[in-house]
Amino acid sequence: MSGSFGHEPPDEATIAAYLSDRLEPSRAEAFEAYCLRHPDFAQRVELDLFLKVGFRQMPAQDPVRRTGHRRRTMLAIAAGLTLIVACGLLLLRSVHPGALLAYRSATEVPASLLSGPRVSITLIRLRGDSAVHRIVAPRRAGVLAVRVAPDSAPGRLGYAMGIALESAVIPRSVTLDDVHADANGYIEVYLPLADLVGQTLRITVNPSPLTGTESLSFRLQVAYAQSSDTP
Amino acid sequence: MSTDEVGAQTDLSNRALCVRIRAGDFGAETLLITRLQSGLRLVANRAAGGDLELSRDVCQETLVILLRRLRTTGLDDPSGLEAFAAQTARNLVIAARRKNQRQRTATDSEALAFVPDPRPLVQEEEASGRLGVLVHRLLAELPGDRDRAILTRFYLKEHDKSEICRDLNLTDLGFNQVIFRARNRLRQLLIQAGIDKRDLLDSEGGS
Repeated sequence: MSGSFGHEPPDEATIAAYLSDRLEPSRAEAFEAYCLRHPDFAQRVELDLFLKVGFRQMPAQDPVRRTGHRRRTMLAIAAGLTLIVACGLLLLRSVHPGALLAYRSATEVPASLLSGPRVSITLIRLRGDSAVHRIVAPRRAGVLAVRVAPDSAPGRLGYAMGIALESAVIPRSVTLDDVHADANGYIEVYLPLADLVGQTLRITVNPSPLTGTESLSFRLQVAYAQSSDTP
Repeated sequence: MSTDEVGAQTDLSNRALCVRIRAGDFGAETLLITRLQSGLRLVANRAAGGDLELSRDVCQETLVILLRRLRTTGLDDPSGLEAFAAQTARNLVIAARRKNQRQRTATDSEALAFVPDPRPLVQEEEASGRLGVLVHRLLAELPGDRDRAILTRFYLKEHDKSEICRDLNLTDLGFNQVIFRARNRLRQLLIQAGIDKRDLLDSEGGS
């Protein structure tokens, strides 16, 4: 095939054939002659050439871009999760203040907590025992009385008693200093049950000031009893 | 207007252009460059087997040779300006390949049995890599999958326009609109990216 292109520009099929190098040499030269005489048309053909080259480049490029895109997506998800967790922690902290309430004697406990049935537990010599002891309390019970029999002599200031909720997310704890055993040799504290339900509680007792001996430690899990009269 | 009339007008323009360049008119030189550079790059690109970088260099060199000639002795037949430019570009590509071949021979005797490497040159990969990024962006901006399918089939898979129109139930006009928009968007992206802006995009004239 030969012949020059006259007034009419080469059609799309001819452009495509030229860019795919499918035209006869003489026809291709005629095409180029037309391009040289018509710069606007030549620019259009050149843009088509760039589009073809760009498309050919894309298959090799896509996996890289997909990898980069995947990495960015994962980072965005991680950042989002971090933000959500941080917000959640802040929210939980605002709902549940970090300090845990503990009363040294029954007289300090608010009357509202004492109106229901009382629940008490006595813990004796459980040093080294890491098992969790489960306590099931009636729903209307307001306070848990914990009696601990220390197995070591008190320090100069008596005992220090630590009570902590073993929550990895929101740790709440309280330490009572200058705690002294009663006539029967027990330390007694009163804890609001509502703060403890569903949590694992760790109670530690040490001479105060610390003597370096191993702590006397207990772990408790508190739950409400399932009852039909629950409102 | 007949083909002969168009040719005559071009002859006249070429003749006038050559006279003005001979007279030291820099504006005429700029006009010449604007008129010929895209076409010259296409000529050189085909002669160079798709080496975009070489075709750009050859285009520049061709224009330098052409301007020197027009400033000094001029052309016997200005109507053959485009043909002269095209043949100069083709000769330069051949010379560049011979030079490249000689350099290979000098460093490696086995290159005497030179066989053209079908793989793209590094420079071409770099240039086309940038084009790939732009085309990828262009595709991402398209509103629908149909336009992406049209462009991919036409430019990458080299399907016939009629085949694409038939498969996608498209009219000629619909097809042309998609292609037209793609060209214009690529032109904008090239301008934004600063790729070959001075060389390729002096004129905003489109299809």
